[in-house]
Amino acid sequence: MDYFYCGVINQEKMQANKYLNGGVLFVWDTEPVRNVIRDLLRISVLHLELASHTSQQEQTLLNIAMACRGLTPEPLNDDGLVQGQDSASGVVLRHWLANPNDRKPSAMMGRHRQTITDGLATLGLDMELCQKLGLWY
Amino acid sequence: MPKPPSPSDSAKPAVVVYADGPLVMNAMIALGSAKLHNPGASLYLFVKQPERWWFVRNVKLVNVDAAFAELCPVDLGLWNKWHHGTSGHMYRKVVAWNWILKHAKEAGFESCAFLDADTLTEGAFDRVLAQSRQTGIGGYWEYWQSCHRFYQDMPQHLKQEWITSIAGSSIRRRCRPTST
Repeated sequence: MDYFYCGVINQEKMQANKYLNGGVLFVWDTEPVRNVIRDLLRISVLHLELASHTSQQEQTLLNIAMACRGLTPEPLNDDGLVQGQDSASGVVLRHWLANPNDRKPSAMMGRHRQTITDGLATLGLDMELCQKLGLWY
Repeated sequence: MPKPPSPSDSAKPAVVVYADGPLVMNAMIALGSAKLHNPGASLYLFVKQPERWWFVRNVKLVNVDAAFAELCPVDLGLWNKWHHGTSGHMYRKVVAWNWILKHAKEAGFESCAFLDADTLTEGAFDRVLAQSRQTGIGGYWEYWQSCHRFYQDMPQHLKQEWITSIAGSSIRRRCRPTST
């Protein structure tokens, strides 16, 4: 599936291939969108072999379901969705795709301490508490 | 042509994450940073054991397998046999997406950001949500040619299943060999 997923993912290759896994799917609650999302669940339940045969199921099948239903999504390739530590202006969201070391909270904390600390505080959490609870890694 | 939406139209999205194992900690970071930059957002975390996370504030915790049972009658044991490991993770994400859309109206939101757990939000979603409004969906997009290659690689018996059961005539029309 390498050619399908552009080999080792980086922002430049993804843009060249017009493929983006920004780690987020933005959706509006409309009938066509509900139908496409329902297709994926239906496939996972009714077509077990086919569904488990697919790699990167939710993305590949979503793309196929959208194509079959004639729904063309907004690609959002230049809209602040970046991979890991890629530098760009106006970052909206970072995604540590296939990067198990850099996505560890302890590694992310080194570069994004303020955002993580403030973000956890909105949930009533902090790093020390998470460490005590054995959640931090 | 519909009028482009103003940012305020999408100011209160649902932000949704499914996570299990150690990635639940990442999910907390993903949801917390999303809330920081999108204060009006409603946060949803789908997990297998929501009761373990009772101390987390401002997040609606949903038992992902109970959500699955609510959506469709399924033999979870059989389903798990086919969809173990990554496959089970991916399709539980799909369960979360379906459940959220099913409950969107009663919960009072029109738009959603389905986040992977290993993400960090650094800005407001207003602009990208507004941009996605016309098509209804933004992100995860490939050329159809890529999907054609996926189909080509499929074992023959599954190709038949795909054509007859899933894509119908649409795939026959679209799945023509391309020059690229």
